[in-house]
Amino acid sequence: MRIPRYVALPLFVIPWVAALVMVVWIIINRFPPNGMFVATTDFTHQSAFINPFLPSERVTSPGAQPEGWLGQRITGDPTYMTARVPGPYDSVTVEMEFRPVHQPLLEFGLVKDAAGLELDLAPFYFEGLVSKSWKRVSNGFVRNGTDASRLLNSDTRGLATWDASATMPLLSDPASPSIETPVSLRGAHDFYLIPSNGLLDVTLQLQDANRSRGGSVAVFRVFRGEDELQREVLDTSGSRDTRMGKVFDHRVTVKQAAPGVYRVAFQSDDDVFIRSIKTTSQHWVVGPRLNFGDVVGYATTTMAGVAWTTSRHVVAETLHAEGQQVVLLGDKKVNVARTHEAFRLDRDDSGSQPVTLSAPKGDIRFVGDGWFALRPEAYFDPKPKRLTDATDLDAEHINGILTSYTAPDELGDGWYRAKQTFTLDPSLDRLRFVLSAPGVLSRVGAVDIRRVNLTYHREALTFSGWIDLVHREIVNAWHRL
Amino acid sequence: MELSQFLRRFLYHITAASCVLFVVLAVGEYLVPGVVLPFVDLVDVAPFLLVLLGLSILSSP
Repeated sequence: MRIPRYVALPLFVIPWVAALVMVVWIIINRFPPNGMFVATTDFTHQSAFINPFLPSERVTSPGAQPEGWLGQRITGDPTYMTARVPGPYDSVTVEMEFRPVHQPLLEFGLVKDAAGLELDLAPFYFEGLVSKSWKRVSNGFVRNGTDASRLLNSDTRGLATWDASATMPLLSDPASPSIETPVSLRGAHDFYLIPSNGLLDVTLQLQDANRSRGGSVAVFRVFRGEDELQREVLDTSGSRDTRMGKVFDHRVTVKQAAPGVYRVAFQSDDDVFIRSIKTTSQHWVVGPRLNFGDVVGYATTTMAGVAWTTSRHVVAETLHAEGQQVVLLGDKKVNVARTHEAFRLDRDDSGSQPVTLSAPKGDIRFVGDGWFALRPEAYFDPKPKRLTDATDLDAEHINGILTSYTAPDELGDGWYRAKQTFTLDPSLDRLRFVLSAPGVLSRVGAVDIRRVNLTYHREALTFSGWIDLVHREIVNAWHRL
Repeated sequence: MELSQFLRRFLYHITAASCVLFVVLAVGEYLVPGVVLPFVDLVDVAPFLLVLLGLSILSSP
């Protein structure tokens, strides 16, 4: 049998056309002219663009789960999901279908640096706001019957914040003598102060313990509300010092300080200790992190950690065996019996006055939903309390929450669909997302995830713009040679 | 053109087009990492390419 030439030749062209179509298909997928690329995973098959959540000790294997549903279960906190960016895009919208199991609060975000320290976390789910007794207003949620303007009021009582800033109260105290408070605080802390007679004056006594190699750097930043007023960087010791450094003073002043709440952010590693705080401010607090350090090499007697707080929920953790102790918050107590483990203290009283937080051995770190005063008379609320996984909106009489949170869509059977959009750095070819489910381990909770959609966006291109983009990528590739 | 000759040449064209495509995609992935692999897994494609090459060599006169 013979095949005519006019039949054979077109057939020979078919493989070449198919190869060309394949190249064009890849180029169009890589640079979609409409500026949108969607990657989806249901965790039943491997996706080229979305990897399952990790680390493996905090999640189950993706796929069929023992209860019969398909997806992945999160059992620890935090967990991470990586994604491959399919080209140059401006933003990505993450849409996730999830089911919280005994987990009232979730936050989801993007890790912005390789070290995993800079997180762009955003509210993702809060059980308390699923109730119909709350309504969404422009800058948060208020209880039905509460006016939306309540969120603009600087009175912090009955308000909570969740990843949002509140209206700063314009506070000022009369002139007052400088009072020194001996403390032993370790590492970075935020101090909130009210100016006294138009002056903000605070002196910290610092000491570098030189326990890690190389000298430490401390940064002092002063804010009024959200505006940064000052920034100062100082070395706390020489780079070859290995013994306990000298105690030295560092003074921060703001003259002609307008009424308001000032934040002095002290940033350093845990090698730097604050030995005393001297200020003319009558009202000043620390928080939400309070890290009582040890006094090894500084004093011969243990310094107890004592503070006064309106925090209703405090997490305590010690890194040293010497810090294992019974901690008291008002009439609640918890035995911090192991190192490197978070122990919770949750108040269930209805009092709004500060209560005593006491750690007789010091050497322990606290994170609260409110602030801590190191002198009882110095307490004030610089802003509303943070919303945490332990917040009980009814018991704590909270009527308004300042937040950018948008309630997720209910899908039935306990499943929800939530969305979050992030701006992308065009130089990144991989993204690392973080899902935070605080307290999930201690309450034996879980978060089930059955689908993740990533929608990448950039501006839709005209044909000439599209050709330009492809041309630019080819030129970039050529330069890489 | 005889049918056997046509089939052999057709196989050559398929093999040649696949090889050229493979090389183009591999070079593209080398130059712009992540541009090809998420869409086409070249490692999975390689065995088929080897089979095509083998068949082409075996079918040569």
